[in-house]
Amino acid sequence: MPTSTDLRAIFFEEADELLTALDEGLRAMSEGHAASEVINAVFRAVHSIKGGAAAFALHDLVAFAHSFESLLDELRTGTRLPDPDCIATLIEAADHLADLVTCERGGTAADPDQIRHALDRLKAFGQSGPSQIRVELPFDPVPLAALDPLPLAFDALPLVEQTAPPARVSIRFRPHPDALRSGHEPALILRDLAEIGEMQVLLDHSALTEAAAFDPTSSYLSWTITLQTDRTEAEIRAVFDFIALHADIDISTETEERPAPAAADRMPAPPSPPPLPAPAAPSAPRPVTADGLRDAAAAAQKATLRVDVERVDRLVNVAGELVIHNAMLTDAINRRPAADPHEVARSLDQLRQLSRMIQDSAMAIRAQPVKPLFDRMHRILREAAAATGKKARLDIVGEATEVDRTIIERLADPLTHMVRNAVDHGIELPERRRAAGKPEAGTVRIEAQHRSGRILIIVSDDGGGIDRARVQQIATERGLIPPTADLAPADVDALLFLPGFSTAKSVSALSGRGVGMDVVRSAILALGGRIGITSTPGEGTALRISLPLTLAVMDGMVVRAGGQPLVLPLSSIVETLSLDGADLHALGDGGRLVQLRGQCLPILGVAAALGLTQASVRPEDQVIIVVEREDKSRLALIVDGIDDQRQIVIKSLDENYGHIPGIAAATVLGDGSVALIIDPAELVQARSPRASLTAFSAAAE
Amino acid sequence: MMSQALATPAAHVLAVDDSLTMRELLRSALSEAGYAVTLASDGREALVRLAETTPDLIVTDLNMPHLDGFGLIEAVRSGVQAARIPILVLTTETGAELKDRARRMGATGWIGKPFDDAALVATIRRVLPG
Repeated sequence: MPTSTDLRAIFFEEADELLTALDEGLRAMSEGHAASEVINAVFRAVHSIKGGAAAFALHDLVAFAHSFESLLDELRTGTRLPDPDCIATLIEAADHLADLVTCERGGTAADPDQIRHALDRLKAFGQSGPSQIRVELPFDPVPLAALDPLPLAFDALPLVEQTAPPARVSIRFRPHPDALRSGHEPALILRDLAEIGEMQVLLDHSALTEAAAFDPTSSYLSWTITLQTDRTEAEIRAVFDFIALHADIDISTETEERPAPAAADRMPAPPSPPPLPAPAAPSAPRPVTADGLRDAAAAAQKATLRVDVERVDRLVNVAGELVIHNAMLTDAINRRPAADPHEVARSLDQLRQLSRMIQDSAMAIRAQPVKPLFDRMHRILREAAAATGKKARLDIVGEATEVDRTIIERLADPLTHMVRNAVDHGIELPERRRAAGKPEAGTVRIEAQHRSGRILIIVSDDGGGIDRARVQQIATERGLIPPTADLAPADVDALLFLPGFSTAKSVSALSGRGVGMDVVRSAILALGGRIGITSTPGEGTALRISLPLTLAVMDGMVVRAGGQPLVLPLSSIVETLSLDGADLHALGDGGRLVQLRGQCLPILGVAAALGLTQASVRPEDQVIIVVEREDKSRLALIVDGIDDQRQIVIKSLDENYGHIPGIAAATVLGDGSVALIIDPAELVQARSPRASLTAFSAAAE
Repeated sequence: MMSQALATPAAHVLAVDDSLTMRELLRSALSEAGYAVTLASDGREALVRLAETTPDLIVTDLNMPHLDGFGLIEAVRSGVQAARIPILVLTTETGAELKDRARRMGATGWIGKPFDDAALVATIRRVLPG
């Protein structure tokens, strides 16, 4: 049985989908596709969000969605035309709606001023405009509390103002012949009446026809009911409200002192709105922006996964086969006389294949298309273009490409940053583009594709390309490279990834925030990915990201240190060499350096760094493994030997042991032993904060 | 979990709504109350379900893609097999106009949105013997 938390999670997940549909619809409208299906789909998206929000008593969301819906309703009914102004207002409203959803999901209060402002904008628009005929905005932004979802089961149970003395009520109830065809059942109405008083019933069957003409779906009966009750006439009528359109109902009260007021007849007075509570102190009102919100949301949301049934079926199927195969193999091994070793070997082969299939099927369950993530970039681009006064459009290619859900989630921030960067630093101002003979609106393109077991994501723009002279100048000013450095164009581009580097002349509101491409790079490397940049002056810049399809499995190198098997992520390894014959230099504090192709790298003994006992391996048998940290600095690790290079399954240790610096996770090796997976970045951090600069300068010289 | 309201064989409710959230809310409330539940995400799918099974009650949203609630009511009422099934429409308090239109087309009653579980079951009990 689902709990209300589950249902809430379903609501928010659906809301995301609906917001995507809303964005898509509005985008289609802004491109001139205002067919009624499009408008209807947009309307339904907002309507469904409102309905779900009401079920969970999310008042701000309901109120805003309601005003939004009212405006959309005017489009739907044709009383308003979807002109560009109107569509711009709708897009703005959709963004605000998305923010509200994010707020509710994270349990943070939305800025009340912002809500009021957005509501006012919608209302102001609703009341203006040439094509507007009818304004129907019954919601006022202030008494939101009055919107408390009254459990409006049926307007049948109005508040009893005072208990009336029991009266004798006479009711004549004659269903129309077609009443039964609307699913009504007069017997149930009599039952309900019996519950509110003492009842006597007289049946009138005079209208019954003879059997030959009898239509079982027609109603022939009528009743005269005498009810002794203390309920008002309105309450009694409420029993009949469902059937009221399909029956004659006459009610007469035989009490003299208190005739039921006629006005209360069909319309019970609505309960007076509860007094407004004192406005809740807004928890740190802050501007609601797309990415500030995401953090809050990520923290509070409960993850659910919607999976194609077919994929689950496939997994269950293969798992079933595994069980069968297991039995066959057991039988082959236990059989007396023993089965042919070849048969066992063949059987094991099949077992391996099945395991592989199970692994693939299980991965497929977590795989999700990148479309929702990519679609979010429309808004990022829109906001970035508005903030910089540029014109830009987004091109999306390969949106159906699937990748592990975790990767999609962790790709959101880097991708956002790259799209902002493309607009802020890539695309030129409209007049400059015109002068260069380009269309005024720049294009940012996001492309995803599968390539050899990894996913490739390319973010490109058709802007001015990287200003290499300026990049080199900044790098020199910041002391990142010596003034004399003579760098190839690709090396200059790579400078953008250095920590703290930013070409922005001042900290702009947009790409400011003190982060640069180095943060993007770190995020990508943390996902086991790689990132590269290419640029052609005058034509644009492209960032290419390659990511593993899953975070659950990775390529690793199994090494030994201190008598323990350890795993190093293959993606971080640059090269390996024998310690014997390496060009070593001692440092004053007992540290050592190795000189490798002109580069001096600090040396770190893995066993010592992890507090393992030193193994009795002769130094000349030890191996140096050069690893690269996320900021591109390098480090030489010393291990006792290399065992293997293979795919490993990652088992997190954090849940049981907390975070252990230097240890990323663990895995189980083929012989059943447990090996720790080293996080080279953290080993380095513990060692030398200046390592990166030293290494880089050495390389540049 | 069987409620005391329903003893012998569980009444079967076909719940139709294009919103996944509403469908799951309906499923949760109805099965909690002891009803057997079939879900459909629009009128068209509801008609497919109706060809396979005859429920004791239909609960439907009005605004849906492909075939909306009105279309569903019309189709059910013009058929033979399911013509007398009670149909409750889900409407918001602002949808009075729609509610009456649905009733004229043959809806039996309505359930106000948002509903709480008790109100939902109480409303169903008004149109479903048991």
